[in-house]
Amino acid sequence: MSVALNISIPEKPVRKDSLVGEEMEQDNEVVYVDAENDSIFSLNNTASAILDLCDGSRTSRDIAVVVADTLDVDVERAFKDTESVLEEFVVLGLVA
Amino acid sequence: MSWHKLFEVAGIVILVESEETPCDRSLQAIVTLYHEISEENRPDVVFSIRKLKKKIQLLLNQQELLWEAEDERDIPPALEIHIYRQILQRTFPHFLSLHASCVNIDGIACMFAGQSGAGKSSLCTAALLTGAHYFTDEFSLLSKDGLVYPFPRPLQWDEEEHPAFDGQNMIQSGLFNKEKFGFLEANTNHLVTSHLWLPKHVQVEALPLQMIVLPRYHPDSPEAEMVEIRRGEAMMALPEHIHLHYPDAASDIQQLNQRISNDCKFFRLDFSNVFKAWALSKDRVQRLAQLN
Repeated sequence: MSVALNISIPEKPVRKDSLVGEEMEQDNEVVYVDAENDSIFSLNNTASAILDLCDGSRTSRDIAVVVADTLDVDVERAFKDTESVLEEFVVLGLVA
Repeated sequence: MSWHKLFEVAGIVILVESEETPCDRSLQAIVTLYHEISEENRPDVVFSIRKLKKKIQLLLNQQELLWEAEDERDIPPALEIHIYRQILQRTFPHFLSLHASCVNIDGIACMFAGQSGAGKSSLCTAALLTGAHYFTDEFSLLSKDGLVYPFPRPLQWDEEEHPAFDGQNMIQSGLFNKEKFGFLEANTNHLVTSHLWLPKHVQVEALPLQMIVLPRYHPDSPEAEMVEIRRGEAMMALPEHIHLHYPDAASDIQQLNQRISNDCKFFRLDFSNVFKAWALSKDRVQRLAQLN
């Protein structure tokens, strides 16, 4: 039996403020340190941009519009992908 | 003073001077690989070894007593530790010291960064046996402009023999000298012998760091498997190998990212056979050398 997890994305997600990113220019990647516990992880540039857009002023649809515009993709597709990324951020505690 | 040596590591000038003591040969072995400089240079740090009645003292800058012992065998390891401490403290933050071995092969500085047991000293030894020049087996000093500076302390084995290397072959290679010193372990008073291997080809000039390998030795691993990894993956692994840290982990990563050139290549190396592992590494180095 599988259990579907119901992950709730905040209406206007806010990025955890203890995260410090260092851009790896050649690899389209940002390495983050969470200053709260010194954990280290990396995100690709698109996920990193989504994280930066989580400033408490935008809904997930607002963020998806920016992503769609930047990557020149369909808004609905960008919305699906953005929600999926935001769900992971919620699970990982990167946004609240 | 019966002997002295004036040398420099990453711009820090150190004078070691000793009255005639029974441990002189061990003391000289500890400092023998460091780059000797002319007597006109003024030392930043002076270590003096003196006899006082039945005791032998190790002094810092002729004032501060660092160590005092009745058994002269305690002095060489004490000197060694204090040399490391002084160099690391005085070079930071201009230099970032990584727990890593480093060699120059074909003009490429190649670093092996890992925890104890990861195989960095073994890979370094295998490299030296193929003619590489020795930077260090422990302290890779990375400057703000991306150069790695030599810190050539002696390679050390805890035992007379090494599971991967035949000591006799190493001597016969003509690439190493050998020394040893014994000291009494602090808690147990048990006599420990440190076997020093002194490479003859020692790097003097700093070089740009162009290759970083993260080795993982395990007896159950394949003989050798090497894969190139992303810069970001390496940057996540390297902070744990820094000796003296910036106040926060984010600054450590930022400093590493700024100091390590964009041309640097990064690899993971899983191995159980150090000679095959070095052969793979050398192949990568030679490919890089061809691009230069």
